[in-house]
Amino acid sequence: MYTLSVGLWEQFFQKKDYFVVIVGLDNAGKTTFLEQIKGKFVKNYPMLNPAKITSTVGLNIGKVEVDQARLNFWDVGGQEDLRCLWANYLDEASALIYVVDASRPDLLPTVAESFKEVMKVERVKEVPILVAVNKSELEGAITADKVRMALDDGDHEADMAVLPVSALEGLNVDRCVRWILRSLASKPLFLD
Amino acid sequence: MGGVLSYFRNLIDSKEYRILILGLDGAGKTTILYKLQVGEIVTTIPTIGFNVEHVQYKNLKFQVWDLGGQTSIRPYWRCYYANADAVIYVVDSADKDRMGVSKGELVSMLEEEELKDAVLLILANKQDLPGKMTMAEVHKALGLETLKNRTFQICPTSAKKGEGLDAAMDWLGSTLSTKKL
Repeated sequence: MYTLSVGLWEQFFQKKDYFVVIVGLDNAGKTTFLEQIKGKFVKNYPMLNPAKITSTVGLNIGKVEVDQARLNFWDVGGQEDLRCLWANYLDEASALIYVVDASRPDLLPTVAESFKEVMKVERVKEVPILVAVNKSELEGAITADKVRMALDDGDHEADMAVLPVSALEGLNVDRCVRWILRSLASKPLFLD
Repeated sequence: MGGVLSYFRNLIDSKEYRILILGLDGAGKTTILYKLQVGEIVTTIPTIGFNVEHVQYKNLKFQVWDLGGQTSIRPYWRCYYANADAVIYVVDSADKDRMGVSKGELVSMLEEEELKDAVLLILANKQDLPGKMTMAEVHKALGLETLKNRTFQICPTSAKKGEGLDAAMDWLGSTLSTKKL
């Protein structure tokens, strides 16, 4: 009975921890996107000047509390020789954000290939994936539809969404976070 | 308008950050400290004890502690951990043999409660030497993929040539500025 009450208490009142991994090719805007998330969901967060963001070789973390959830973001470097490190983070992911640079249609084949590699990770098959088509505010940016067509989600079982965003201007950033939260919440409890 | 705001923010933001420079002996910690402080390459001898200097980089003030890296004095690093805002961990990118030792020291340092909130900047130093490791190699050799609760960045530097330090300090400065004071 005690265990049951504690269980129920935790179920209703404790914040649940989720791990959200942000990957994508280098210079797609992953760090800027995470900064924007922190700016929107962390009170009084002094956002980094986007011009000062350098390419990540390492890790940026972000902790965001929304409603009953605590989202822990891992933003990892996207340079080619760093991509083999992604799996370490994906293995523990509750959700995945894949950031695509919409202003670089020429990179679409590389994006597709890297996305395929990501999908090979066993864990990824059962977590929600949000594809953030970044830099959508730029002229000549490819549409979310086009990106969706290029990505092969194979035998992915959980939710997937493709949204145009602008990490620089903050367009759709909170919508992305809400989508992830909703998708995580709708997951059956035993999948934790 | 933005300029005015950032001017006032700089006034408030004049806190002095406490930074530790750690790493094995011969990694180049002292050379880096003095390159940051006086902008020149000074001839150094192995540090027994520590060097401490006040460094002004752009609009940020740092109090930088460079602690000796020899085996016998590494146990004393922990005496300096309290209230450190950031750790600059220096590795010799050409010293493949001791990368494992360096990893061990880094891992045990990061386990310390006092450094829980410290930002980690790893300098893959001596990039001017032949046989140096790449950033990805250093990342793997130091086992950094297991480090998931802390923001960190690896920067390639050559303290001797003065390369890479500016970019590294820019990263450190902006990352520290997003932390709550």
